[in-house]
Amino acid sequence: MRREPLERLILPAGEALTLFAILVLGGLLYTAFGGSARDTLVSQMLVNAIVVLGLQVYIGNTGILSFGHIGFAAIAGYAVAIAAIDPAFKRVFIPEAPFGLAEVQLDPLAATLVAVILVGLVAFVIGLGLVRSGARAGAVAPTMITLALLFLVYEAARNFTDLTGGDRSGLSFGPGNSLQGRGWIYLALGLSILGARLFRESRPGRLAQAAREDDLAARASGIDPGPPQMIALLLSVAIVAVGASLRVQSLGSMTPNFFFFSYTLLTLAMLVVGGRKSVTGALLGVVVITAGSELTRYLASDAVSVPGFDWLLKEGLSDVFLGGAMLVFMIVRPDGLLGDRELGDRVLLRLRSAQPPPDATEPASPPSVPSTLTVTGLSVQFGGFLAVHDASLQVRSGEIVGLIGPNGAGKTTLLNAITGVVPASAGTVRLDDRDLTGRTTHRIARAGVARTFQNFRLFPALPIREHVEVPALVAERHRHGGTGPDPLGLLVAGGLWDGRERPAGELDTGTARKLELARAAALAPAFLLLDEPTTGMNEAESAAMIEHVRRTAGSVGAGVLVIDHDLHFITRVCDRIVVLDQGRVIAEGTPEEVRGDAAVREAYLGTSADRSG
Amino acid sequence: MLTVDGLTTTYGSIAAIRDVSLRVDAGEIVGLIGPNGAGKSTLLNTTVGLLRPSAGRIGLEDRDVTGSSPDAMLRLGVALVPERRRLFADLTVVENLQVAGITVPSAERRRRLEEVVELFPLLGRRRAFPAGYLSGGEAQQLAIARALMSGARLLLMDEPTLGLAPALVDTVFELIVDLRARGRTLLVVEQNARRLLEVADRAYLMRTGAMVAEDSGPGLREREDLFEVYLGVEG
Amino acid sequence: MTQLVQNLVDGLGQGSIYALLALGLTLIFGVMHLVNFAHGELITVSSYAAYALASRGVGWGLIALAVIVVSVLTAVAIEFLAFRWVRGASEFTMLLTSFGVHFVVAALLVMYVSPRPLNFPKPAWIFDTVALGGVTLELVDLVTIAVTLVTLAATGRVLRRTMFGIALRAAAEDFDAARIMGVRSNLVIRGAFALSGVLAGVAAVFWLMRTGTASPTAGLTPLLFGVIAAIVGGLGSLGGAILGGMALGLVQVFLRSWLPSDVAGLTEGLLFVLIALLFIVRPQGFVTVRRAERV
Repeated sequence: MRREPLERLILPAGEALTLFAILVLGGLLYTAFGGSARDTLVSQMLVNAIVVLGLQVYIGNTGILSFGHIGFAAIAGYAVAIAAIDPAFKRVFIPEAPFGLAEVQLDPLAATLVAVILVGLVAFVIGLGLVRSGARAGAVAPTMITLALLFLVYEAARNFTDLTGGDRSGLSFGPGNSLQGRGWIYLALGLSILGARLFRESRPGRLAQAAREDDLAARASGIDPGPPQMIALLLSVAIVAVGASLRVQSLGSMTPNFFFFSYTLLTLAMLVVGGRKSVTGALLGVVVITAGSELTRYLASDAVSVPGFDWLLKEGLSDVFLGGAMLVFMIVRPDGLLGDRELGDRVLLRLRSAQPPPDATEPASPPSVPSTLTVTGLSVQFGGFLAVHDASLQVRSGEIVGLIGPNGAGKTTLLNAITGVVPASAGTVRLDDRDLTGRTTHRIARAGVARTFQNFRLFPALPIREHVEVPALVAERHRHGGTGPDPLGLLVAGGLWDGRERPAGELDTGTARKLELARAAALAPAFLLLDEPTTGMNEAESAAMIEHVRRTAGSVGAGVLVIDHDLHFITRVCDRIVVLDQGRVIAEGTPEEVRGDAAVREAYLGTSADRSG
Repeated sequence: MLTVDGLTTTYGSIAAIRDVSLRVDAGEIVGLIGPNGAGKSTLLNTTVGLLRPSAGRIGLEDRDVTGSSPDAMLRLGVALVPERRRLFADLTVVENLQVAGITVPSAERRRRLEEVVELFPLLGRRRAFPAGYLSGGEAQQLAIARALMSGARLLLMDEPTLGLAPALVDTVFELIVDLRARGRTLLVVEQNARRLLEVADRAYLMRTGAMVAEDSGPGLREREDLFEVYLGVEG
Repeated sequence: MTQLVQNLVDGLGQGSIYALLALGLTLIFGVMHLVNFAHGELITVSSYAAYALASRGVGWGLIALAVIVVSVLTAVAIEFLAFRWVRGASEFTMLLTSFGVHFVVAALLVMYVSPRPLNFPKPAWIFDTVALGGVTLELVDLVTIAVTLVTLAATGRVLRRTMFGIALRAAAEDFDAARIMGVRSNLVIRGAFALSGVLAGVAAVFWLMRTGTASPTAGLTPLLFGVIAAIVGGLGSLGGAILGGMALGLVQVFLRSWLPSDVAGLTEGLLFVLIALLFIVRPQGFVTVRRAERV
């Protein structure tokens, strides 16, 4: 992690500054050729950009579709309005305000700070609820929870008229009381772009992105998605709160409808059209949608008449444009115009490509204190079906143990039980004297048990290098404190160095399996559990895998438990083999012993008619 | 009756089966054995139209049926008994049979249902049972009965004895032989290679996506090195 | 005691509407894995049909028929124009697609019909009451419940006795196995949307009877409750959807009657708090649906 500061701090900061400059200069240029209407438009666009950046920080990095962020915006908007409006006006709108709020006046900066803190507290509570509901990319529960928040805030705003002025009057800033000039907007925008961009490169940002791509694989790499998601949420609502504060001040008034469904549509469309996974994408979406909205509004206005098209150019066209844009993009290009590319990607790529490859990771000296993974009497029950029955085995550091058996024998289930993906109904799993039975997947990974998956699970949008660098982040904190092997060396050893910037979604099976192996090894585990690492490989690749598994395991000093059906591969790579059939261990021994075992032959080939039953 | 020629099916960039050919003549039982991951299921699924091949040809008698949809193949008389049966657990036995006969006009469907129930009296006694409550043996019978509903002459069976107790394994193999006696043609994938080779007229051995051996049933069964060839541990 | 019975009937009357919507949503989710937030558009578009006819004095029997037909046509149109293209896409994409459809339809109505709500006359008997065993009940609740029960029974019959219904249930349980059996996927999905259109149409009739308003957001509130009811019911179980809808209606009515009158406006708000809590505590709903994930 030595050259990190340049790539993860300076370059993104430069990018953020450039994006800021483009927006500001572009806005000034546009305004220079028009009147005050243009001026307002640009201000609104910049404020919307801040809110959308807030959305991007959460939705983009975690993949969780939140509908409630505008609800947070509403809370912030009201907090600022109530705190900052001159008491002279407040007494008109909300004379009955509780806690004597009608008499309070804070300057807008202080009011915004109050709003951010308030919203942060609410978001923290909601965030806990989201984690509890198992929030992850694509889940419906967090969308419903956040949607409930949006409606709740809306209803509360409409009903607590003492505090908010409700639907009818709302709250208004008097003349001279609202936002003057754009100084604050520029400041907030610049900080928001910087914050969003840096978060994307930060540790919690990267962990959240891994979990977004594949929740289970992330957990198996030692990541607990909860804390990074919470951090993303808090940062995102802080940015949204600032944006909401500026919006209220520049509009000069506040009613419940300002922050409800139509604003949600606007900001989501902006986020999605440009590309929700990148900051540049989000900002591009803001500009494109603003331009499109303005154009459709202009066309639909009375100022324009196109013969033959007047039936189309009516009021409401801009909403059709918004909804239609979102719809079309979801169908045709769900990742948006930019996908997840950032402005500085080319520069970054050139920098990174120039980097010389580190040495391939060499076999480490065996750990001074060898470990043992002991499974005793493990049973796994699904409903009434016993998938694994009283299975016991042991793996020691440095050895490679094979787990074989016919289809449906329970091999993957056994692996899943060891790694906490399914609960064991009986038996124990121990790593030396640590009891791992029943623990969560990410804790087991952090304890030193890493795995690969039968239908490999990579992080499709993330580049190959990220697959080893992220577990290394986890390993640094939870495994060895920075004394482990260089993760990039694992890439070199696996022949993955040349394509290291490619997104993992483009890989063929052979390469994907090697990458999964490298990712597991990057965790610096004590044990590697491999589930069918040669499935989908041709004969040559399988043969090469033999040496590759040995080298990788040797380089991190791990013991290996490997499931596979290719017995050519198994007999050559393993020191010992355990045979499973119908959930039970039926044989154990060296490859020769197992090959000659009649019970094993029967399990694979079946029995003849005269001997069945 | 069925010819498969140079078939290749890919998942993304992986070739699950590569350049595979086989032949099934009318009235035979053809066995397909091999270790897991060999591509046997993929071959059956591609033949019946669930998967599109990227290369190769599937011929049914004189017709080229490559790339046909499953319901078209059913109308041509080719039915699949899927791996792990995939019964509709919430639907009753009768409803499962009715869905399986959806490509057949309703009068004939009713007639065939009665025929099938005669063939499997056990199912007849359980008409209104949700299929999820059937025992393993009854479930397998239902799975085969479903394939018969469409009037299929060629049955593709994917691991019909998977998960069944030894006594039921006997019943299933008896059924397979009985179906041949009634004029059906069968292509059967089985884990229980030895039993299958005892009843198969001919058999193929697949490994890692390719066809590795072909012989008559008894011929393949008698091979000394069957285990080694099966698992690829030669040399 | 009388209050209790009245609340019960009132709650079931409301709940019937939610149950019908939830059932339609569950059917669609079963075959497409999509939570259809555009389902409310069926009610919204129907509201304009109701306005067109009711304001001309057409009888409510005919209006009901028209509403159901419009609802079915809208459902099939939405599937054909939008959802057909996102089959098998990620859940994020499908969710946003359904929201996109919602916004486009609402905007089109604003453009081509009217942005302001349009009122139309409710049926003459809407405020009538019936005395049963000493308790005064609203006629509209009883009619809603009765018609809903008939509709549910008819739907059950379709699902159980017709080949379409059996094929639909099979596809909802295991889409690929249904294809193996020869079921045609396009027909099943389109049929599911059409059936959900019938259910939503019946729900719309009673909703519109009570509100008497046509607006671009007419379907939003009932949709929300329908979605909640469907998810509460576990999103895969038809029985669960019906129970969820009824339960939701009851909770809503009882909350409103128990809360002190000055806070009564907050019923909706409180309901949302409860819903949020529900999803936090039991995100998979109350009815367990078999759904294994291959690791």
